[in-house]
Amino acid sequence: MEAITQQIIFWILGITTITAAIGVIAASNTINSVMSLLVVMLAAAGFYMLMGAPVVALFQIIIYVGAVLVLFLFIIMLLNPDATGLSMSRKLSVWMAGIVSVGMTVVIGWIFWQSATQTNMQNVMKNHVCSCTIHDISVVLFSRHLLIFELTSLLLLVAAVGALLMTKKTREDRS
Amino acid sequence: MAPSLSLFVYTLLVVGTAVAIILLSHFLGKRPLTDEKTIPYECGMDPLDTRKHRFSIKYYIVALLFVIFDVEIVFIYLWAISVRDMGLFGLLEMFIFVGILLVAFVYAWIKGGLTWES
Amino acid sequence: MNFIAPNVNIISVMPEILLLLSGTALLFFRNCAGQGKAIPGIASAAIILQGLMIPTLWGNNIAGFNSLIVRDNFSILFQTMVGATALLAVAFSHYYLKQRKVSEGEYYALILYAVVGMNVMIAGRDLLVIFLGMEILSLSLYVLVGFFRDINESMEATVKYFLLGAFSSALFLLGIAFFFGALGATGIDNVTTAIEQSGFNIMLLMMAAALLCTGLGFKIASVPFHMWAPDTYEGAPISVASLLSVAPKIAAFAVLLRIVLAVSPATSQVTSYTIIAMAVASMIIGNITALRQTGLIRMLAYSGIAQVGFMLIGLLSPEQEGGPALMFYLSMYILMNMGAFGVAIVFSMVEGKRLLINDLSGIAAHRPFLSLAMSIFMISLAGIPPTAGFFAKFYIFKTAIEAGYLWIVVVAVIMTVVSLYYYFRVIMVMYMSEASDKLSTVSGDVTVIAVLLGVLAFATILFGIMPGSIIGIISKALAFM
Repeated sequence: MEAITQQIIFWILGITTITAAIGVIAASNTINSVMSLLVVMLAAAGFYMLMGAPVVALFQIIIYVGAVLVLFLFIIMLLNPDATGLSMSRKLSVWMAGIVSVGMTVVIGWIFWQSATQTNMQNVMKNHVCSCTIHDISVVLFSRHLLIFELTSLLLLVAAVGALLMTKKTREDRS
Repeated sequence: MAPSLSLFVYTLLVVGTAVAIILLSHFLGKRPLTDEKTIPYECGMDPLDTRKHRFSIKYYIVALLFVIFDVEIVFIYLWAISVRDMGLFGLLEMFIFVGILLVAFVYAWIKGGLTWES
Repeated sequence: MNFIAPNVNIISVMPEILLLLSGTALLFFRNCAGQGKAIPGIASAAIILQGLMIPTLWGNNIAGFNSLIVRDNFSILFQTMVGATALLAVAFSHYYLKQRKVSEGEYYALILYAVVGMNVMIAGRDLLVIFLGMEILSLSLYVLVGFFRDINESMEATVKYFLLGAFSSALFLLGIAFFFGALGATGIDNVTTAIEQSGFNIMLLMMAAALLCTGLGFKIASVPFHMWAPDTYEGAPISVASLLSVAPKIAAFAVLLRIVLAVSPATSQVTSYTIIAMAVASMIIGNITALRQTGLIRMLAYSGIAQVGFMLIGLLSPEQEGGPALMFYLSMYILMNMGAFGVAIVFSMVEGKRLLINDLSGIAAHRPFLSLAMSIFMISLAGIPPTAGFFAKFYIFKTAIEAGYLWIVVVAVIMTVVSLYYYFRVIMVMYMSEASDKLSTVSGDVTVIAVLLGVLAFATILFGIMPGSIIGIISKALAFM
């Protein structure tokens, strides 16, 4: 019963993702593209929940949906690109990008297929087994991966300083 | 898997309710629609625009800083869950983390990233 | 799951804490009330101090944060090289910024943060730590490249560098994901244990190795991931370009060496094919393209791409002599490349246009000392005895022949001969051409930079005559391998 409900949820999410992803590249209005991207990201969060990774789903919603998409929207409002001028203007580069992304997908898919059918995958998975509640992840992050946590703050500091330096007027400009 | 299933049902209910309200008001509303009826708010500025004018870069700086401190919030959220187990050591960890980000905050303040004028 | 406090061992990150604190202090320095004069002094003091701290950890294998960071002799040597490069870059920057009449604390703070990032990359034993170090480094460099926003080329350079750099970081991250999929862990040392228990997935590991090499290939600017380098070096402030052309390469090569050492027993063929392709392509395309360059910085950028090709050969036999040979090449590359960029900084002070090779014509008559230094660096980059560059190439070629890659050495030697043309063209222009008065008025106080260039030129000759001492230290550092 549970397996069937999971299947149903999976297919609903999958169809939603693919439809919205097509919307991202097909929409002529850039704002609509971003809105479709929002749906894609929410659906991705749904997939993470389905895989039993609630923390990742949470981060996906807080950071990507909550913050990164806002940045996208701001950029579009700042630049105000002409919708007609953007769409498929460079035919060759669009085809090249399409071929490369399809090729990449095929290669990665083939590798996943190969590795899934290999026997020693079970051997690997044995090491993976963990209970992934939020509490467990929190404990692991603040004990075994403490350095990574602290380095993140340094990375954010550099990012903030850099963002301010690149966007704020310098003192010379103002005077 | 039960919590994820209930969450999914909940999401479906939310989306369903929203769609249902729009559809109901579409089918049950009295026709014809006048201009007054189509605007979202009865008074105040018109919230719909064709995005003809550009936004100021000032909004973007605020959004950038928001993203940076948003990531901080995610970590604080994780920390809050297990802070009781970690005791004083956990407190110290978070103090260092917040301290480094406080530098970014003070820098943004001094640099004028938080002021609207200039 | 219960919380067990990690074994932090704060000594293991003391140099980084020092850099972080002084960098943060510099952020708040203002160019008023005479504070501006102290800024480069503080920055160089911090780098020197951490440079003195690091060798005291020699031989102790100090591990911190549950062995996420290990300061073994290997990393100490690489970090010393990074520190020396950063110190030179600070000195060059001081000169460059003084010419532009600015002294910004943020500029030096970002250099210090970049050094923190590189130190973390080199000492990190976990791919996530390495990735975070790489990002701290990259973000600092993106901002440094576009630091002077009144220069349009500079902004163009920073956008190019940022977009391609972000793309390469994404590839590196995807590589980490595959690595985790293959092993169930992100520690580099996990590969060795996994190979012993054969508890890993070979397909995923190969994909991971290829993606990690790609991500690092961007950082070292090897073909086919080199497109950003010439434009970025030319658009960036030259003092930043000098840092950019050497320091990230050292850190990225340290990571590459570690990854290749760990992964090659499992995926030997794939990894070495990838490296051979990158090395040969870098040597050929870098050298051939450098022939046609008219701009001095562009020429140096393509020469840097070619040099990376030579260095990559050392990765083909990392567990034998390749590792030490690569480290020797890198340390000599600091001397000659930083030297060449230093001379370019002094010459490029004619504002508002990029420096062409022909602008140097007849400069030897006005500036005999600088021309002599530049000639030494060019000869060394070309790999002619008795300079350090010759022994650097010699050791690399020797290891490749011992490992059975004769045809690569043949290609490399042919390309070295090709490179003679563009390196010697600079010398010819400086000494043999008609004097043009364009650069005769090199302005400003050049004493500090002149002394540094003198030391660099002297060291280039010195290590060319007696390379044994450096080789001895390096072999000791790699004894654990």
